[in-house]
Amino acid sequence: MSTYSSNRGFWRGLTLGVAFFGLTLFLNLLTLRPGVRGESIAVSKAEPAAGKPLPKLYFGSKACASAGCHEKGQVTDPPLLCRGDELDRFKAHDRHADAYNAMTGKLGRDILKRLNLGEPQTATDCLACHSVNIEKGATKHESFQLEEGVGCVVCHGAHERWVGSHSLVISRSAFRILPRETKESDYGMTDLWDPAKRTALCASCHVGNQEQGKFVTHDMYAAGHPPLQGFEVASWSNQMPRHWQLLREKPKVVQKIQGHNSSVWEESQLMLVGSAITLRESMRLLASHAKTASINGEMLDWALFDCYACHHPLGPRSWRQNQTHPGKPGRVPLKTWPMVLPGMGEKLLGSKEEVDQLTRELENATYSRPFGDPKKIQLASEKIAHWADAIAKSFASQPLDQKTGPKLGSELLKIWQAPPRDFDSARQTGWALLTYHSDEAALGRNINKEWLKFLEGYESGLDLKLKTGRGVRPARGEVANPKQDDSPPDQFHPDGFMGKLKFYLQEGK
Amino acid sequence: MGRLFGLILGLIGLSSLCSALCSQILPSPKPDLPSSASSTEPYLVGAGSCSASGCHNANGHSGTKGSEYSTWIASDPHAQASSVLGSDRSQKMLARYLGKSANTADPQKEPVCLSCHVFPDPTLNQGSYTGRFSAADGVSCEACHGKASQWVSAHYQESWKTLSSAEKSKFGFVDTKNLAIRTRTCVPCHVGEKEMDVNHDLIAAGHPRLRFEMGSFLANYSSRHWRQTDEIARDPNHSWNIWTTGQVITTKAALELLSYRGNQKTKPWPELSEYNCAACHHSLSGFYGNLPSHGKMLFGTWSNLSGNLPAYSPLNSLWDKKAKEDLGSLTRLMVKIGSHRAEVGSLAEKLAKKLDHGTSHLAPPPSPKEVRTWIEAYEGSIKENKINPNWDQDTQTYIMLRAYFQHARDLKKEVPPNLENHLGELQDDLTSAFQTNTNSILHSPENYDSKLSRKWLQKFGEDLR
Repeated sequence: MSTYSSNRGFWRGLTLGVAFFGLTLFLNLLTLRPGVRGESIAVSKAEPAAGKPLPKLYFGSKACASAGCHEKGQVTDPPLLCRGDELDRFKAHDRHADAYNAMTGKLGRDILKRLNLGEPQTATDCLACHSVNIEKGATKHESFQLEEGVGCVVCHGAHERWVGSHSLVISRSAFRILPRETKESDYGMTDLWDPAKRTALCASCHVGNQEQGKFVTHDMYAAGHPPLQGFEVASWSNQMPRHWQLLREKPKVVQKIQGHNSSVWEESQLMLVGSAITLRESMRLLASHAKTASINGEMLDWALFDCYACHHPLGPRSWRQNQTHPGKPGRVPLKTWPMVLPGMGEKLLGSKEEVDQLTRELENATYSRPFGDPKKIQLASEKIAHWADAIAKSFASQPLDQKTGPKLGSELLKIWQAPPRDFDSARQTGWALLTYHSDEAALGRNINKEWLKFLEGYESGLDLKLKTGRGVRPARGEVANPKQDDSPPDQFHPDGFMGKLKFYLQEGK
Repeated sequence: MGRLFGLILGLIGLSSLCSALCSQILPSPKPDLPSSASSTEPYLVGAGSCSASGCHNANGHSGTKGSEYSTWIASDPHAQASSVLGSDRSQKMLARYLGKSANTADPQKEPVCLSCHVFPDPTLNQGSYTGRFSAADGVSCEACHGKASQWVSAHYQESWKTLSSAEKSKFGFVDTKNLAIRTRTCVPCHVGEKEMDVNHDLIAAGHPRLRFEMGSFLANYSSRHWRQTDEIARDPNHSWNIWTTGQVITTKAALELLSYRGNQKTKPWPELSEYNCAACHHSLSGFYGNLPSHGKMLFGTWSNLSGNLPAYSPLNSLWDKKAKEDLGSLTRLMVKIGSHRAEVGSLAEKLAKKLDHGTSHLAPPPSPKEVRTWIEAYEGSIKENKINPNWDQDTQTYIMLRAYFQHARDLKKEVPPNLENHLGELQDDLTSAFQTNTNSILHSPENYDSKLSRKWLQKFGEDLR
């Protein structure tokens, strides 16, 4: 208790209602804050000065489970904004909880050994995504454990201010009604409801972010890291599985606070904004690598290129040789999947096809020599990142409603009028269609279940149900080695896919 | 087909004319050799000039004397070198290479194709040529034996036989009996040089990868128009010497080509055909960190610039200490795969020069003990994980052992009874590493398991004991 009384200054800073101010002060002395097994939490005394970043504090998930908040069975006061069983879902199904364990299993240990990276707990290159690297000056709470992998605060914000404010009985009702932007700027609670912010956060690991030290290099792949798959935020969020409710699933009163419009294609909007942000992030990653490569006279890291451009069998009757690729044979293309959905989205907006020209510029830079000309690639990718940022804003500002929503499905199918470039590109469209149909179902519109079954199922070859996610989580430390016969990208044949697709679309009619 | 038929008819006509001429010329007791100091450059006279039935067109068994032309035209793939350019496959290949539509690409007019497929004069189809040579002959007699304008009417005369190899060369005649000279006639096309370059762009467009080794190419040259027994009669060490000669000249050619590729700023760089195909071109399933390349390019695995050469390899004695350092630097630069083309170019040039006189003193064939010692040392290095041989390197080892074995057999020496069987089984392993769909035979197989080589090395070691 004495810990709390010494901390009044901190709470005084909260922008709560003036009428509650005295009461808050009093109740702060009496109310349990989230802690571990009833222990108190040592909170930094430093109060943030205006404009300075908030001090960071890394909690472990025990802090979120305690006091009966986010683990079911203990939910004492069912909160309005959340479901209360977040940690149950996270611990039982979400592979983010296994991110660190992946480093300590056989494959993880082998990779660390091959790369000479030492022990898992000190391998910062890996921890950047498989757990978190705690910055200098940040505090680690005693509940924090690397073993929790990508735990709660990694995404929600490792700041003491919001953790306290949102949980205290006395402060939380006032905290809840604050705008999301204020919760983030003044309290450090990351605004994950903003599709752009959420996607940028996910993409920092699932695509890479050079500034944050998150990048799966070709050396890591060669040492055994499984290939990063093409990322799509809406369907991947669903398949974590989601430990939150969509706005359309939330109580009416919350929908009212959040200004929810019940006739919008909610997930599709996230998908559209997310696709543009994912493209932006992948182009920023490329630009930053290209800049370094061009200064040092080096090649770009091969991890930035399309894996299957090189890693394909050489037999003369391989499907690859029947595909039409832009550019020159023998020149290595970049990953193309991030371009698929934003390109479609631009057409949906009815704007000029600027991206086609930008894409050509990047392709020319890439094909001018084997592994591309870094200087030209830097310029071209910066332009595309700029374009993607602008188009993300357009997607975010124009809600997909009764007028624009229905067009999305047909625009998505138009992508498949030509065979997909590769497995990852085909999946982007597949996931976007699943997302679109999920909205359609929620809005009570007719959907073709047979077609959905094909799309999601084994037969399409798209493997849209992620192996990470909903399945039964392997035992601790047992992250399965990818099996030899379990490699859809190698087995995906665009021509065969087109044949089946046509069949199902005809059957569906 | 019609064209080929026409060609054959024409050739029959031409040959009967020529045989008539030959029968008049041959009895002449005192032939006049043309002056070697002829002011005009030798030029091509065409395969038809050799096709008189009394000369080289006897239509006998393949390889018999007097049937050289008939052997070539009937069964030698070199005779098809030009006609394949007319195929649909060639047209599509060139279209992909040039980024053109298929109907605008014409391999029969494209210097990049003609430079080897109508060797040695790719300008033949350009309209300026008026001689008797036909581009349809592809790679014909004079491609290897030299432009014949100055020696064609002299070489069947008695006095020609009295001339030395050097004297004959003044007429433009190439002494292909000399193994070094013979190998040098093969490498411009089969390894590549300057504008005759099968680079990665061309391979990606569909051209088979070049992978040349002189001894095995000759051994598998079933349409050979000479007798191997004659070769062994001339040089009892022929089977061994053709391997050593090939090693030096092929490696030198590979270095010269690399130097050209590095120095020629207009050519693609990095040049990916310098590397082991399977280092990149392997499936991603199932390997996960277990590939010998560990995410790096493998350089020079076929051209003997990497790997563990036996002490009796002619290259080993040619690389002095400095050259070995340079080889190390070259490999490091190539594996680093950055913008070091000029450095690579000059290093490769320097190394190629080291091999300039590499075939003048070739070491004699090793004793079984020497071979066994090397095999044991090689096996030891594999066991200790110092080297991890790939398909290219194991195939080179196989070829070397095959040359050694063939040489012993030529001399009717006692050969360990199991050695031939074991070599055959190794050959099966090496070839079965390829996927079964035929044409892929020209690529480094991704499926080759390098552990196999240990099994065979052990057996060879035992065989030679």
